[in-house]
Amino acid sequence: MKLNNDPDQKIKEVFSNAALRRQNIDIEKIKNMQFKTITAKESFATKIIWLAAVILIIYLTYASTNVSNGNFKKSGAFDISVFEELPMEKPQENKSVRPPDFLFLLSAFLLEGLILFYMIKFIDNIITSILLKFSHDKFKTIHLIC
Amino acid sequence: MEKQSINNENIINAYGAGTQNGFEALYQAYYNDVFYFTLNLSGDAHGSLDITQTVFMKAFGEFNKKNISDVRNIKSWLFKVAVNEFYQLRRSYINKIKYLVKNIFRFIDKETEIHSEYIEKKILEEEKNSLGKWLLQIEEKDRIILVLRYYDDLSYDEISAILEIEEGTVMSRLFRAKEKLRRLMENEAE
Repeated sequence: MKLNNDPDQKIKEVFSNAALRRQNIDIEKIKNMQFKTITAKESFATKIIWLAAVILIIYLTYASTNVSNGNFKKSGAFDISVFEELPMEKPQENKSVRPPDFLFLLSAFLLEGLILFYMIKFIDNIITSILLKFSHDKFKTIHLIC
Repeated sequence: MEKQSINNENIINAYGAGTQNGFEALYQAYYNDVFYFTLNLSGDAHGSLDITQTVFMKAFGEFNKKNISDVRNIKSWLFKVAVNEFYQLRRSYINKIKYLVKNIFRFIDKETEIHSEYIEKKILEEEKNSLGKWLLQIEEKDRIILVLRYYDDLSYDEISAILEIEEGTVMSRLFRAKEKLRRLMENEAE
């Protein structure tokens, strides 16, 4: 079967039909998601958050090895003396237990908050994606938690 | 994101003001054009979404720097960047690796994955026996011209500017592409 005499017209029709069919495809959601990604001003902020997280982890490791024996203020980050053998504590000695300082508690709180936030976000993504898989058209605007 | 009444003048005015709304107007006006253009070139929804995002990231960067010198040809500029990105993705091994890594992360970013899958599925459903299939059988450099001319309705002059080739070359490649497409269509019809 030969196509009609104006192949140019036929080609135009094929392309315009494809364009028309594509109008039924919903790309708005992903378009909006990409827009948010592109215009997000958090790229620098994200770096800062991750830097803070790394510092907090180092700090917590450091603090947890020192805070219990009361040497925290004495020793620096590279002070290996904390690893040296310490005199055995006498069990009967009435040692005053030094409570964790404010910075330690704040760091722990922030780090736990950060981890919790990402965990919730991850769970939210999984639930949302399951719902989207179930019915894209029905749940396309849903986002359960964040 | 709110829909706005969009025309070229709005974008240019908003661009002049350098506001976020200006970029949003540009994004709303040309996102679909750029996405379907790259989809026509690659036949791959995932890759096209990536290229489209990269194109608009670059546009956003230029937009903030107020660096797009010829704003009246913003569509041509976007298409030019898209063509370059498409070729880069095809030619550069580093980009191929980046693309693979990104695909691995799709397992984490499930929502994006689901939407990409949906688009790919819909497009395959729509075009399993037509344009998409034929286009992929046409040589890449001819395919680009065919798409720009018939899908995006650009003039020879604009195509020539986007691809940085002579108008005569545009015409000869277009002729070759049309012949090939016509033969494919005839074979399908027989």
